Amino acid sequence: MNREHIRAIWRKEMLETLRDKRTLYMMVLLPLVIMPLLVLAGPVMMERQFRQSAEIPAKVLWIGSEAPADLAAMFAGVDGIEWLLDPGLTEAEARERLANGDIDAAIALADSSSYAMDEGTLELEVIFDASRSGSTRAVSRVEALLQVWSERITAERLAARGLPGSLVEPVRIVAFHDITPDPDGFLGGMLLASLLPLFGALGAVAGGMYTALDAGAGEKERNSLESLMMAPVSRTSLVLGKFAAIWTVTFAAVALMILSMTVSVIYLLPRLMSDAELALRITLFDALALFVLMGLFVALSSAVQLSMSVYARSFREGQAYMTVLTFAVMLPGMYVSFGGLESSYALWTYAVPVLNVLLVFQETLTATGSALHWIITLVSLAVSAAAALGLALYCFKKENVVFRA
Amino acid sequence: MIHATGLEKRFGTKVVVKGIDLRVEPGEVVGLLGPNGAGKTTTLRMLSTTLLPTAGKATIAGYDVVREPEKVRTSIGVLPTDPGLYGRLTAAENLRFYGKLNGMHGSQLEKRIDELLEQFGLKEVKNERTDTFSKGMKQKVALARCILHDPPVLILDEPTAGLDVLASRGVIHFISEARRQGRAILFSSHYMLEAERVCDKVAIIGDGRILASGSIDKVCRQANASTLEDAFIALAYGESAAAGVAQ
Ligand SMILES: Nc1ncnc2c1ncn2[C@@H]1O[C@H](COP(=O)(O)OP(=O)(O)OP(=O)(O)O)[C@@H](O)[C@H]1O
Ligand SMILES: [Mg+2]
Repeated sequence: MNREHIRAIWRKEMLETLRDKRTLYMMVLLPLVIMPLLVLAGPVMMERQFRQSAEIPAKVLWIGSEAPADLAAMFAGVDGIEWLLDPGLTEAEARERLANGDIDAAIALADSSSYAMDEGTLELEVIFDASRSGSTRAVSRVEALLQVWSERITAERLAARGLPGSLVEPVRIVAFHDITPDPDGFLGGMLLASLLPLFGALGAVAGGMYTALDAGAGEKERNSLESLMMAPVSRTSLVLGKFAAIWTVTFAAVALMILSMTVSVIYLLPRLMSDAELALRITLFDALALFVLMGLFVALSSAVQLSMSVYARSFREGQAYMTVLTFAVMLPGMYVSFGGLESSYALWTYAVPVLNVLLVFQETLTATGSALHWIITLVSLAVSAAAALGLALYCFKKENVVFRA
Repeated sequence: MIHATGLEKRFGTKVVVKGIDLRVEPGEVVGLLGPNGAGKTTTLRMLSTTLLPTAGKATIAGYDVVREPEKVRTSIGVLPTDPGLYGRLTAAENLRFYGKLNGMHGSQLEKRIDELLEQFGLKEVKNERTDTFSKGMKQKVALARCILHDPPVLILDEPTAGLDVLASRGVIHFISEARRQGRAILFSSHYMLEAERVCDKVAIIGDGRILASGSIDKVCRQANASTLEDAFIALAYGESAAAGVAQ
């Protein structure tokens, strides 16, 4: 091992990387522009769409026998509903109008209805299209209005009989007390907790991909590996120099990714949406611990990528291996991000690389971590990174890997 | 300088080099001549420590290629079949990288780089990326790279392959110059005229074996031929092929 050699190799790999547009894309454009756009676009568009549709009144058609006058007046008087009357229309015709999108829902008074002001039940049939959001929204508005009307009639009937309202209301929730210390900040934390581990882990695979591919498969494809193997450099220095370069590029990409996602969710998202400001509550110590965690994980992924790269016969073959690696991170990442937030996991899960990074990362952001989880995770990562580095060294020493025909 | 005895290489069950003896002394140029697939590149790779021999022994400048590969590497300058430069690095950066790997640094390294680029007529393109270079220019950078650390032994695999007349002549001049400086040079080639011009000795290799070796006169006499090319064809492809060529 020779420090001058390691530094020379690191420098050469870095120079090659910095002059390659693809790496710059992976390292800078992806974390700084593409990812935040992806993350911000979804919620912002959804909110806009939601707000727009909330402003359009739902068209509700009443068919068949006439509605009680006070009910009709109530429906006609609210903002969110456009009340249409067509007593002569058959149910089949109403269905057709619904299918054409002319109306959002239709209400018909059932024949069995035996309603009078002071007793009996008004039995209604609602015709709607569950596949259209406008139609389901119309139905829920209708239901809410009917609920209000029903409560009023109930109260009137009880009063007419001299009975108290509590007779038909044995239970009522009078208040909700939320003890989340800072509901807004908590929300931001939860959103980040479901996004950051996944994106961070993906960055650890994608960020240095081209540097890794260049370092092995690329050297083979451009026939430069042979000269390099004939230079008076120990294989250990060679592997360490290349590993250090991949680590540097990948770690930079991961750090950029995490910072830009945090800024997007904590500062940009609340400004783009109408919500109050979100805040992330993690301590400086937590943040440092997360950087150590990602540093070790990046070491593991760099060493694995270097081994894959030198094993591959060509750039394309190497890219195929990297794709597999991306999936190996993406699948557990999706699971933890979207499924596992509230589950608790067996201790051995924290010994499984990738999975442990995702879990510990998430636990730290939601302040549910434990020292034991951290210790198992860090030891497991350190051991597997060392093993992967050993594998890379083994690959560079094997002539049938270096000259794989 | 280069001493090989009974060198053998087997890939799986296929024996590609079948016991080769070679000697190259300081100030001597030896041409390893053979048809495609004869085992030239494999032999040169074993001598330059990137392939392990499956039998036999070789030393370079007194160092064993199997037991002391890193010492061997400091004593050799190698030109592989393909120049294998880093295209995104400039000519100077390519050389600087190899200089550092060979333990050179600072102004001594920079002076050596300038001197070599000047010598090879590459001074103007010193700071240009090598992926913009022609094949001949790339070969020159690769030659500069292999002599950068002033090694006593040069191993060149088809140094003139694919080059135009002028560029080939430049390479031949480089080899003659290296001999004058007392280096031991082993190079492989298909071109007999070139070999006749520059080699002190030749070794004709066919199907992994040395078929004839020694001075050009000696090899011609052994094959009963008047030119090296006739001798080569007779030895490497058999008497019938030689007769076919003669008709
Ligand atoms: N890594 C390898 N694995 C298996 N077979 C190989 C390997 N390298 C070379 N060979 C085989 O060894 C034989 C000799 O190859 P070599 O490259 O040494 O020939 P050469 O004399 O340099 O030929 P050329 O003039 O075409 O360069 C060929 O048949 C080749 O297919
Ligand atoms: Mg060859």
